[in-house]
Amino acid sequence: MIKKKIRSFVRSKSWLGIILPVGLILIWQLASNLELINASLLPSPARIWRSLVKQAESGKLAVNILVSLRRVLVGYALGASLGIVIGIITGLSKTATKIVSVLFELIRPIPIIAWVPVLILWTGIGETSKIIVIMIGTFWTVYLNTSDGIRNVDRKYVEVSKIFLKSKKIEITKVMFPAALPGIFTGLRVGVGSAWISVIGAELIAASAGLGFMISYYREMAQPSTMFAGVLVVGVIGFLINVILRRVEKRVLKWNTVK
Amino acid sequence: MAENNIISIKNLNKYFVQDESELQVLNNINLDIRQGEFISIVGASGCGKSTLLRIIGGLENYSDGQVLNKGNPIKGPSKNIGMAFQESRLFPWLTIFENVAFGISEGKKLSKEEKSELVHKYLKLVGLEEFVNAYPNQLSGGMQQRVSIARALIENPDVLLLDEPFGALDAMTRVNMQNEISRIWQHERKTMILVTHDIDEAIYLGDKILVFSNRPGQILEVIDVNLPRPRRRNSGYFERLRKYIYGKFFTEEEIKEEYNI
Ligand SMILES: Nc1ncnc2c1ncn2[C@@H]1O[C@H](COP(=O)(O)OP(=O)(O)OP(=O)(O)O)[C@@H](O)[C@H]1O
Ligand SMILES: [Mg+2]
Repeated sequence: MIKKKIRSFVRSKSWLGIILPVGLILIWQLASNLELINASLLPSPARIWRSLVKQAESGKLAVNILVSLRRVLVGYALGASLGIVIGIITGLSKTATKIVSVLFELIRPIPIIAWVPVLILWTGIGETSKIIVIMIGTFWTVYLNTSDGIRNVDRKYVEVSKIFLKSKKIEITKVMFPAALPGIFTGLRVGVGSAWISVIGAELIAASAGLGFMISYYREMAQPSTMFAGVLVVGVIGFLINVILRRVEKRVLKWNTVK
Repeated sequence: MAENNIISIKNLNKYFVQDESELQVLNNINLDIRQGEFISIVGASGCGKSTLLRIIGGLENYSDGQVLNKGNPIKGPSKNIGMAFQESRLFPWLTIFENVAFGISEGKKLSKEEKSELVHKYLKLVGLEEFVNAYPNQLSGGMQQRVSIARALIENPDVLLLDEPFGALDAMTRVNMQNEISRIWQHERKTMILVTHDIDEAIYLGDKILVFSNRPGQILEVIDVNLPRPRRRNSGYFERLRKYIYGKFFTEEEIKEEYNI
């Protein structure tokens, strides 16, 4: 079983992707050892790793990760649900699209980070402001992809539903929604990326815990290696979330693979 | 005796609006179809065959005239009339079982066992019982068409509309499918209306062949096929009929060329 997996991994050439990051780290380490890099600007990988282990052992790292993940989870769930619901409504109804069009096109170009001070002003520095920022970050991609997905459902499928005299409810839930699901999933996958970016952004500006807070706190403390450890963890977790979502997508959209 | 006709069409005209001008697609169609008849429709591309079928299926409205099902005007899709499209139009996200079950009317409250039995019955009819749990993209084109026919038949409609259901299939599969349809038709005694480009197919299956003119589609001729079933494709009568219908579309020379190939 494991042998098989390793063999397919080798054959799939996925391992080619590992060469660049590993090579980069080696060069980076070498350059640090040769003191070609100013360690107070960019500590060596080994140094960052030690700080990371120290953070992990003290338990602070786990707390910061959990705090950030919890915010993302709540904000993402809310933003994605809202995006799917409003996306379905505007995808189905031209009138609804027209009603929201101007408002949405005015709000959408506002960068997520610009919302942070506004929301702190309105809701204070607590969890609410962060969760709303993540919600906004998630909402747009999920909304746009859902709306487009529903609007572009092949009329031929809808006709099948009509010829079998299906109710509007079945037409939407059993025909249009699954037909739009590949698009919706693209939105969900891109959306989780923006959610992760949003939470770190919000925490960088104002927070007392979380990975974003960790990064800005250790910059102020002049401990660059710990700060970089935070950056590293942010990257790795973002990567893992994407991998997990791709897995889920593959399973749910099993039917969508071309023969 | 219009009441004896399951489908009755009187003075039907159909226009589409294209580029802000009206395009006449069907021109004064008059047609009576008896219960249990097999009607083949042949005609050039774009002459309005699909449009006629879609009007009978209730998917398209019509500009003027009458289209009756057992004496009642057709205003939209109905349980009495099933349809299999040119492309199978199966839902790729549903299994074969679920696709066929989609044809069951929503109001019908069936137990799990009854539903399963019904679906299996129709999958057996089209010879695909083993594939209940497969997805459409795991089936060949011909198999997908058979599933789509099972889905159209499951509510037991009186009329089955077939819009070039074998258009995309190779010659071998096509002949198999024709035999299959012939078998189903004899078994289920449905009224079937088949649109096809294939003149052999029209003769092999039809009690009557409607020959359509170019757009705007008009019925040029109704040919009765007086051949006992099962039919042999190489009988003299079959040959003569084939030649006769070809003659409706091509000149003599083109026919000769066709035969020389
Ligand atoms: N929704 C529509 N709007 C405008 N024009 C249409 C529409 N549907 C069909 N037409 C036109 O009506 C004509 C007849 O179309 P139809 O699909 O009935 O032809 P057909 O006889 O089935 O052709 P084929 O054998 O190629 O399938 C065509 O010229 C087509 O362009
Ligand atoms: Mg057609």
